Amino acid sequence: MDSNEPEYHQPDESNRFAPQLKDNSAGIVDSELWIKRAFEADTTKGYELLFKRYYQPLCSHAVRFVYSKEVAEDLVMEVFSQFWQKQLHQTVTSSYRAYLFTSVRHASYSYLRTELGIEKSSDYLENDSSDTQPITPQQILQYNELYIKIEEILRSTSPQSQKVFVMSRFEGKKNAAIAEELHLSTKTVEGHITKVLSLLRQSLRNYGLLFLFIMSDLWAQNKGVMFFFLSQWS
Amino acid sequence: MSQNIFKPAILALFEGRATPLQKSLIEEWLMEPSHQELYFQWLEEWERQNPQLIVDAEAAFFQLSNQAEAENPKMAVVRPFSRRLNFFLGIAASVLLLTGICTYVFRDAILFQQYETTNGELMTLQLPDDSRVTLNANSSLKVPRFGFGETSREVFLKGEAEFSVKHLPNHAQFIVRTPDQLEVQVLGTEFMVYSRSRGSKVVLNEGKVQLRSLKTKETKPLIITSGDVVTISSKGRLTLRRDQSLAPHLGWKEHRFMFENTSISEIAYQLTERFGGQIVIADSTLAKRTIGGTFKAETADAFLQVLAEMLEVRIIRNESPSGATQTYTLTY
Repeated sequence: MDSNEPEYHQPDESNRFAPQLKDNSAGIVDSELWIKRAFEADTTKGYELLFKRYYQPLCSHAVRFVYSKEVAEDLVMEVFSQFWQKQLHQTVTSSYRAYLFTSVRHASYSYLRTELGIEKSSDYLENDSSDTQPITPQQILQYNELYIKIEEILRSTSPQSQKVFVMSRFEGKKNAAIAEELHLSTKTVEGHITKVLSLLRQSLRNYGLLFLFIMSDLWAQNKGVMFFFLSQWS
Repeated sequence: MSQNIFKPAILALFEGRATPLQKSLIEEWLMEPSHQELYFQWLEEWERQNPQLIVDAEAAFFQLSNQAEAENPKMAVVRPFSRRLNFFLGIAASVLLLTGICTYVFRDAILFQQYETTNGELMTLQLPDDSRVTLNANSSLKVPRFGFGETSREVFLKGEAEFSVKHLPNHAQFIVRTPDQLEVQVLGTEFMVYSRSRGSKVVLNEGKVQLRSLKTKETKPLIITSGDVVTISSKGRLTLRRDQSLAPHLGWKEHRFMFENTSISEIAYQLTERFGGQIVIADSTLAKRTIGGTFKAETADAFLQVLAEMLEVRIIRNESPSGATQTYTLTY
């Protein structure tokens, strides 16, 4: 996609499109310039470019937290959908990239908290100011810690549990199908999944998953979808 | 340019390899908004290079714009009908690809059961064939999940372990392999295998075992009997010593260390193998002093306490900021 860039690339114009960002000569702003240009010319087109450019890396990032392809994709789509509905391309002050990654992190985190029963979804704060996303360096690092911790926890479980968990969550297979494929009883499969989930719940609780504060409301409006997934895994 | 110095540290952070010091540097660095932008730029780059899953952005966009169209006609994006077919083909392809990737990534986890010990930890396991294995500290053993004992029994050892192998009715061979390509083959017996960074060693308690190093062209295996100790050089040369006292080699099972004219530097080495951490000997004459005797200790602290009293030296303990590694300095 970056190959499209030179078409629009005109150094003297870069500041016009991103006045909030200092010119740090690393091409950070410029790499999104053509999307910004597209937004100006045709919002729909800009949105499409934005989506196609960032969908893959965002999903890849989300799945590190939620370990489900389906959930990851839904989370990312929801972030984009909000972006569209609120026409955020007019108001986002950081790069789109920073905004999208941060929102996906928030959404993944909210999902995890609800799914692991750490917090009821009603506790989400309906707070529109989250669009401006004040985010501290500490929070940024905590998100890294979080997905690394999750990976560590999963690695610490038995290989069989890992396998069942991945088949169930990541590949979205039904328990019965997993049982058949691995020559296990459905009970055993359920046992593995329950074990991993409760380990995750317990470890993340001990680890202090609650350390991240108010999360974005982006996801709160999509509780219906969330409960769908919840019922799927419970 | 100074930003690029941070890139390796940021990548280490993404991969969970960043040290606590790096993390605090990064935290400071991130105070600058333009650095946050760089952080996300590198995050995107990293995610593109290490995708955790493959998605179909076209299909997803199609789905999303259809959804939006229903809610908000302004968002109409015209799409040819064949996209729908592409969408399903895309899903099918992704599922196939994912299954492949998962099987590949987790093949070790799928094929093997892994047992691991950490600093100072001993573990006794019963294998499916009723053979018994005692793992010393900082060691790992991989046992195949499928077909173990049916025709052969093959395990992979890193570190140190004592095996008490059961002779099976079908005479299935028991084979221990180590990272330095040593192969120990037995029918039923008791023996100890040591394989760490500085070399390997096999000590036979009882019975007979066959061993060979796959590093050398020598195909004829060496057969050893009880009381034999074989050490294996890094080049794969086997050295056999007969009628050895086995106690010094097996003492670790009771948390015992046995020394005979053993230098302090060698003792320090054995301690770090067992308990991790780091031992610094501040004086070269101290490193060369030798001692003998039997020590029982379950922690490095306890051991060094006794050692310090014997040698009349001081021990200075330093903890790394994360508390992960201990450094002990021995000095007069």
